Amino acid sequence: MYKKLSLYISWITKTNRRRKYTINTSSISFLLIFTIYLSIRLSTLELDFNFLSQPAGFSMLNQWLTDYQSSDSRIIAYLTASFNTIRLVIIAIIFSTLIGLIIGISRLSSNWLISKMALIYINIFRNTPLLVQIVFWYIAIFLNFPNISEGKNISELIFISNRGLVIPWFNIKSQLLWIFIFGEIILITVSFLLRSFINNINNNKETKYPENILSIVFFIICSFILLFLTNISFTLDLPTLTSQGPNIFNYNGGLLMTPEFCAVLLGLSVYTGSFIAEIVRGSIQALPKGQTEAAMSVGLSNYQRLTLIILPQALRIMIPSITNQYLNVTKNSSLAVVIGYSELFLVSGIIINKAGHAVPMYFMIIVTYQCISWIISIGMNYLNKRVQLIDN
Amino acid sequence: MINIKTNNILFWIKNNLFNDLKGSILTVIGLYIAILIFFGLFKFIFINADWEVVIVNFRLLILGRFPIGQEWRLIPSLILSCILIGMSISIWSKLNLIKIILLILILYIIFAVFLSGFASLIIGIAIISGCLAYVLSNSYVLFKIKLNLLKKITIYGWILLLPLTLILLNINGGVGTERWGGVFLNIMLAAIGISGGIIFGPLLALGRNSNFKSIKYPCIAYIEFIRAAPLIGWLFLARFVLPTLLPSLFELNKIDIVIRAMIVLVGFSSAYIAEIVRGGLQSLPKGQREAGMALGLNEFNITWFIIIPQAIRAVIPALVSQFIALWKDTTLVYALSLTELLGAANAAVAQPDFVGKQIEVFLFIAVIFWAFSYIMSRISSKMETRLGLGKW
Repeated sequence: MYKKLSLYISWITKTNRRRKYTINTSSISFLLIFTIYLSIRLSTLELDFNFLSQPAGFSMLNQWLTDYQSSDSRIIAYLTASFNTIRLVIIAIIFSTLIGLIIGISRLSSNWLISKMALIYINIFRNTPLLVQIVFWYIAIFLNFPNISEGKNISELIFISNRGLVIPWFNIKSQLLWIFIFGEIILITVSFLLRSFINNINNNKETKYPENILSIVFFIICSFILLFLTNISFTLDLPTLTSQGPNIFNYNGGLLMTPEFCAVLLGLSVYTGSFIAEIVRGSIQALPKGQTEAAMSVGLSNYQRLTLIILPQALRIMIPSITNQYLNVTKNSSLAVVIGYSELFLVSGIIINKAGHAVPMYFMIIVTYQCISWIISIGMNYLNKRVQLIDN
Repeated sequence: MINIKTNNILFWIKNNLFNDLKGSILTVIGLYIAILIFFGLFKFIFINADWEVVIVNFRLLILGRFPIGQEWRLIPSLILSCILIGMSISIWSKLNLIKIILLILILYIIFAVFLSGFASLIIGIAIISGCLAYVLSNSYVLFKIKLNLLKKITIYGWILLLPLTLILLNINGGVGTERWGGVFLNIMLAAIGISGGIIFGPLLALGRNSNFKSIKYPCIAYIEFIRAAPLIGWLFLARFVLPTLLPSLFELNKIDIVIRAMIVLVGFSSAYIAEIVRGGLQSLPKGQREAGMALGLNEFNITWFIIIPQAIRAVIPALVSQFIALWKDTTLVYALSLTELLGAANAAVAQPDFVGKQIEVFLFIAVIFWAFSYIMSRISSKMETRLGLGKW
């Protein structure tokens, strides 16, 4: 049978020209038919984006920096959901990197107990599905905390109950908060430009200006000016438990982290942390052993050896794989939909239920995820280049 | 003699646990945490936990809502897979007798505790036939069979296992996919996703490396588009949008949601496997293709006999880790409200008889997921050392 098949294929591919025509014609005609079919099918669906400007009509729990009412338009609801996702991703990335670094380094510790504990941690959390972990943290742990009236409080500052975790937070009050944030972003870009500008000047001169210090000083001074101009006041916001009648309790002030957010954050950071730990271990082991020995013979302490010799070199190897893990965090944050954290998929699902228009909504979701991934990979590629440059 | 031995142990303890002050502090803290966790778990599992919820719902967790009286459809596949596992262990792995006996005992005790009567008999028969297969194929010389033939038989057995299961599930009335559930559904989803990915992934990778732009760019577009969004998004798309895109021919637009999930998993895993195989294709030196051309082989023969085997061989560890990821991703169909393992666990927890027994159920399903992925990762690392990868 194989011989016959090979014979047919060799007839088609006997001359280059025949092969080229056969393949091109067949694939293009297939694509054409597929596109025509898809467009006929899609034409029966609603494909415009007008529905997004109508009022949303559903409520979401506002968390840090979001201010959403059910009378806002659907596009505002969607943007709030994207912001929820981005916030979750950023915090999860920070925590997972910390966990990964600590576990990965302790995996290589000369202390037998510590290294074995790290190994057990990695084996357990790497091999269990993330969704199971998230649902476990949510249903078995965070929803099992006591009621709000009997909730635990740690030294009157941190409150824990099944309604979430409340911690003290800064209260930022200003009409011009968004202008301030926008101005800060511009300032950061300007100070980076300034730094490269000073670098250019330094290249041609004997006496060199300290470009890092100059740009940081510039940034700090300009930030203070911006702070005074936009008239922003920071006050410490302590949480309190207030009762509005019998059995009606509420948290006032502070930063409320809902159980959904806590469960997803914990699951994501612990799961991704175990992967990053393996990457850290692998990239440290990939270094020649002479590096460690040389650092020891120079007389550096354990801490100095790690931060000055090993990690900077290991970073070069680990950054591409860690970028991959960060992109995975972005995609995996969508699992929060299962336990009802108001992220992209949940809010889009509600909008689809209310207004239809599934195809444009999914298109928007894919574009949003792609944008977040692009931002992460651009940032990490920049970091990668920087790390490579230090070596040269 | 004894003296020297104790000295050795003391020496080891001093070297590995208490080599300096910092190390000693770390050891003490680590020991404290380890003891705390260990005794907490021990106390929970053997004293506090009420495993009745798992025992009562065992059938739900394993088979979901599989119709009662139809279990015979699964028995041949179960026994065949046990036989194949026994043969594979005897051919490719050198387990010693004690390990094997321990393994069987643990398996049998687990199933004997949770199962009763007929089911435990079937499991016993399956395990015994697996042991018999192990013993027989260990002594293949007595039957005058060559090792290569034995390997071939085993490989063909593994390939035929999935079609056999599907045929058995569909003959004589059959069990509709809407009744599949529990671990069984997870295993079927993962098996179909993996086999589909193995078939379509390399094709996509070859398409991406093709010289013809009419093949190359559609393949790139497909792979990048699928990888852009998280799996849960594609699953939701399959739930809400796919029926309107499919033709009404043969009632294709009314296909069951399990089959839709399978389609999505195959499409998703083939995009990821394509990227892995592409890495393998790129790692091949150009001389391989040129050597094939010099021998006068045609394009098909070069690809099938020279390129694909070497490319796949180079990326086997990455492939297996993709399989593990796919196995873990099968939990996501829970978002489509299917009764796979996590959904079954949630159904079990929701029963009024078992309020507050979430931790037991979730620990149980986490152990099941963990065991499968851990075994796969062990196989992967063994293969890595056996194939001598990373040495050339």
